Amino acid sequence: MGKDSDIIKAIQTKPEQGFRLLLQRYQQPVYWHVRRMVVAHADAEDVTQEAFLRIFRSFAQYDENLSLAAWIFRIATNEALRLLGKRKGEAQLSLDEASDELFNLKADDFVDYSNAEAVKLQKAILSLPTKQQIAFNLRFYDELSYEDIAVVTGSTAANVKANYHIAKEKIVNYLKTND
Amino acid sequence: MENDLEKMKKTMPYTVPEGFFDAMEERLMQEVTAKKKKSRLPKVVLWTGLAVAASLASLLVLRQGFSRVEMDSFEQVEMAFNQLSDNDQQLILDYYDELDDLDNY
Repeated sequence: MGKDSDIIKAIQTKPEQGFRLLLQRYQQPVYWHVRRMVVAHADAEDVTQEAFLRIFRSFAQYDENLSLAAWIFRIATNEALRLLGKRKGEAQLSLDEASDELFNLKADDFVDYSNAEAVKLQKAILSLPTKQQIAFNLRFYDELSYEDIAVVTGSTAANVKANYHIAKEKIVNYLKTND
Repeated sequence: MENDLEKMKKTMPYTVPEGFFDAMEERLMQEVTAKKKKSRLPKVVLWTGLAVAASLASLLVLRQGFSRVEMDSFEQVEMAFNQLSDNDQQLILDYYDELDDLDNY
């Protein structure tokens, strides 16, 4: 699995080989990030696929001053928001709105309901407004820096940090009150 | 409870079908390889196709004995487009999709 700088160089010189390296490095983290947002496996598959095709087609627009991870997660997040917005009849879901994906957690085939603790944690995350969900997920699961998360959400690092801590507090409360 | 949250770190109830990630990687690689092959074509095939279609459209107008002397330019383009094979039409649509993508990012 290559480092980001190697992946960037490879895509610029041999696009297809470089793209394979990028997939090997980012396919799974991006899929799981999208999955946590849209919940249903089939939706996550569609969104992830579309996101990577966009990444390949628009790689010439990638600004090397941004971290590759932030740029990739931003495209994937926008794709996921587009899907969630479409369901609400909007072009893209606003970051301030809560998604209605809790229902999918109950309906999807690819959910291990026997893992009660993990199901409860996902329910707690899904109860948050979207921007808190994204801040929490990208920090907690993907360990992105606040600066990178700010690039993903089009916000500031301070704002993301605040959202992460609010989200964490709400989740802890949710877990306490839903024992 | 904070500690409980840390302990739960990275556990998720979500699963994927077996072999899912390998299959998706291959599908994406095939897709970008196919796109690249397609996008090499437009410069040669696309313009040749359009030229042929435009000629056909002109012939069609001439054959109608100039009964319709004036033709809207949009109509001409549409007519030319309709003369293209399904593959060439799809090629043009894909090309414009890619331009849209570039505009978005």
